[in-house]
Amino acid sequence: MNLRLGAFGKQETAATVLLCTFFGGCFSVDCRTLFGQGNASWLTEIIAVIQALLLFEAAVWALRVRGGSDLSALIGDSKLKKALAVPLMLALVLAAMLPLKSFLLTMTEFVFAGSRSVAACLYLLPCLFLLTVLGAETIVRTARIFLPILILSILAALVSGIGEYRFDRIFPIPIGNPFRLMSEAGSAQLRAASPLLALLCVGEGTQDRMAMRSAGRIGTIAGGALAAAALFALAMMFPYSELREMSAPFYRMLIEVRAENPTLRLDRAVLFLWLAGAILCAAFYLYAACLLFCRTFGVRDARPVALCVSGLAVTLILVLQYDTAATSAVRGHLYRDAWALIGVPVPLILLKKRRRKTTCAAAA
Amino acid sequence: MKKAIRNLFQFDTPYRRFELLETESEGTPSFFARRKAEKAKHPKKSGKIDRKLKDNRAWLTEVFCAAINTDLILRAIRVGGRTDALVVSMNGMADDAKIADFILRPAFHLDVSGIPEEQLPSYFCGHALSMYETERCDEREAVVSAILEGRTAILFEGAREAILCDTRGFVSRPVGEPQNEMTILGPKEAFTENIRTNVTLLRRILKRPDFVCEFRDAGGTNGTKLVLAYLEGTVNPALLREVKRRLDAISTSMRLTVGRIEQLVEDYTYLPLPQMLKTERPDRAASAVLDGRIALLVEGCPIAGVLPITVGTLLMSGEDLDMRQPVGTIVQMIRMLGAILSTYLPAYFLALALHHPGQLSSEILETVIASRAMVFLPLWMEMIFLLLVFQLVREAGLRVPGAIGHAIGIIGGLLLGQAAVSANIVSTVVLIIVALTGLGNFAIPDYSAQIATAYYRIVLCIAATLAGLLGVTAAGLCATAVMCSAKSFGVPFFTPFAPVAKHREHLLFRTRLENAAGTTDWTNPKRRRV
Repeated sequence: MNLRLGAFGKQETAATVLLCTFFGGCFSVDCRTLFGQGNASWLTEIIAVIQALLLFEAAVWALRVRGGSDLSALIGDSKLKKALAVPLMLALVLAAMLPLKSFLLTMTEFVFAGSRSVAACLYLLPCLFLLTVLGAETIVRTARIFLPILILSILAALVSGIGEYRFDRIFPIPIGNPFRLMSEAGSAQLRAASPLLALLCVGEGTQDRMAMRSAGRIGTIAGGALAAAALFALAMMFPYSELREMSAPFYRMLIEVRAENPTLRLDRAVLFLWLAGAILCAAFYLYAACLLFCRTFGVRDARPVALCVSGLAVTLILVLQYDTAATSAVRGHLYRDAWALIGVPVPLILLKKRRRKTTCAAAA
Repeated sequence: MKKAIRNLFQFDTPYRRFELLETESEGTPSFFARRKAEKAKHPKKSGKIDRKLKDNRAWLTEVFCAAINTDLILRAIRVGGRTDALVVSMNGMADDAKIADFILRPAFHLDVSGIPEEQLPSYFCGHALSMYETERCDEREAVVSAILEGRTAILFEGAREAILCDTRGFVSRPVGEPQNEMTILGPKEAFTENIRTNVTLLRRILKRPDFVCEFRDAGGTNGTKLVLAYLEGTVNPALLREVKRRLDAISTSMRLTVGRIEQLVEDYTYLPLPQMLKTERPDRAASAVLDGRIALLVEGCPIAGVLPITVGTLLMSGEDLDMRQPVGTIVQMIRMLGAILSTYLPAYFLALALHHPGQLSSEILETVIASRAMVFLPLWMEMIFLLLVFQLVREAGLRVPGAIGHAIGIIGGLLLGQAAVSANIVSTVVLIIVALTGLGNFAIPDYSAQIATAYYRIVLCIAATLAGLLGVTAAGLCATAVMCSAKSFGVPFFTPFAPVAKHREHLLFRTRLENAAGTTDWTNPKRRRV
């Protein structure tokens, strides 16, 4: 078996989940949908994280009851459940793809103006492939190394924009319709629940179910809080009417800060630092998808699968960059309906089939 | 003349020059001229010592090629005028005076009447030899090894045992000052080529009964000795077992040194960073041993290997803990800054200047443009050229002895740089960047880590030239990931940061020293610091 899972500690796992939650919350968003009705993105993020945590707790509880260490233990040998694993893999690939797509858009629009996405993807693919092949142990350790500097850069970006914040910009907050808020948070499950889904896939590497649970909790809560704070800062920086038209709101925020401090021109350095974080998160999702595939379908070597999922993710990014009617429709569905890829299969996997009580006599 | 004309017009087999073909005995090489690694064949020197002295003499003559090897001295004597014996030693390795005074003279005067031939070695040991270190053995291999080490073997007629006497008396370099790891506050002793002296240097620091120096054969045909030094009861037994297993697997005919052994036992062959700390300072090796790690000493090598290591080990010098806490913190931070600058500064500058000029302020941009006005090389080529020149000057300075080496550094740095600027080959801004990089590189205490940084630097520069900050990000991330995946004898390279360990190395902030018993916990030693 060459699955390259390895063994990792609580702090490294929590760091990875934190980064995944943050980058999912801030860079996997569709501004037109998120800021369509007002400025409730930060509130939606908090609710989405709570919903994802509830799902995660249910999965951990199921693992405890059935005595497994990761999601593949819950899937077992049932063909139906194996079929349910496919949408989960697709969800993980999509979760890996969305932040990278957002960064690619930022790069082609602001950094390498006029360049083609394919050229930038040429640099992303080797990174993704290498990290995915090196396995979960390497990914989480690299995430732990990058975490302090990433947090510092995020906090620095948020703090340095304080002069530009205006509290009146956060309005209107659509809290009058709680059902709508809840449904929006539900739609955000692809980005909120994916880190925990990936964690469940690599659960055996955390060496202990309780360690996995606490790392998942800490990472999700800290990452959700950071993402909510960043979205709140964004809401104070730009009015929602501007935000829904923006393609890269966080980079625009950095540019605004830079405009105020012309001597401190670190916006691109920060952007690429964040890109490194996004690549790490994408690699974590892709490895989780790869491991889930290997475990479910009995593949003994993760490397060919890693190459395939990395290639698939990059291909999807490139395809969705094109502006056609079909890709626009797919993009719309991705942000609105992709929650179903996690929201439907996971509860079904958690359900345990009740065995019929059969006696020997009845069987005879 | 006649021969020349004949050679000119005659189709004759030309004169064949002597050519030593590597495949003479092995047939035609494969397409890529690669051969399977062969296990080194040891000459037959095992077996038991023979009862007949004549046979033993013949065996020694054959093993040491005594007919042509005049170094071997086979001295036949008659002990007490009754029993024949053979005194064997290697000329130059053994002390002649010791042999004459403490072996030959008592042998001639010893009364062996009534002593059975079988018991003669033990009787000789007890009644004639006035030497401290003697040993009796019946294995031929042990006798050969002892003679090669400089000891003297005495073989008796009718006895199946030989006596090995410690008569080593070869010349060796005295303990000197470290040449490459100079410190201001630390001790001024360095290891030598003599393994016994090196063990003594360690023992003088580690005055503990549980400090073990395990002598082992380094493997291969050369018979090189090595020492594994560790604290018994403290070192992780699994680590020790693994190190011994890897050392046992060495089978080579080349001369073994710490650097070569490192390459033969390491996990990651293509990782530029070293996987074993190489130090010439006994105090540094002793500190590592106290931390629960293993020191490796090799005969003929004035360097000790310390294993396992982490990135933090490579960025710390021997005297860091001798400094006061605030001063130590500042020094550590400057060193980290130097390491980061030396790795990323040229690539970052290239990325900004070539792909993101908007990130440079107009003043800096103007200075760069003005300094490059007459330079004909492209910026990336200029940077890589200067980085290579820097490495060249550094290597030349290292290899050239003494004061000339320093002079080459100065000449290379000042004259060559100035001349290159005057000749419009390089610009002053790039020269400053490379100079800063070089200074940062020298802040890294470990030589192997300095070289590894140079490798990463060039790779990052190429990536920056190709894709600006995107390239730097991609290459930096890949390099970090590869380092994160690497382990030195089972210990991840970024321990204690990833994975987290209780013992925090004083990498960025020097914490205050505490009265703490036990050792570091990232090697999972038996006695941990609490």
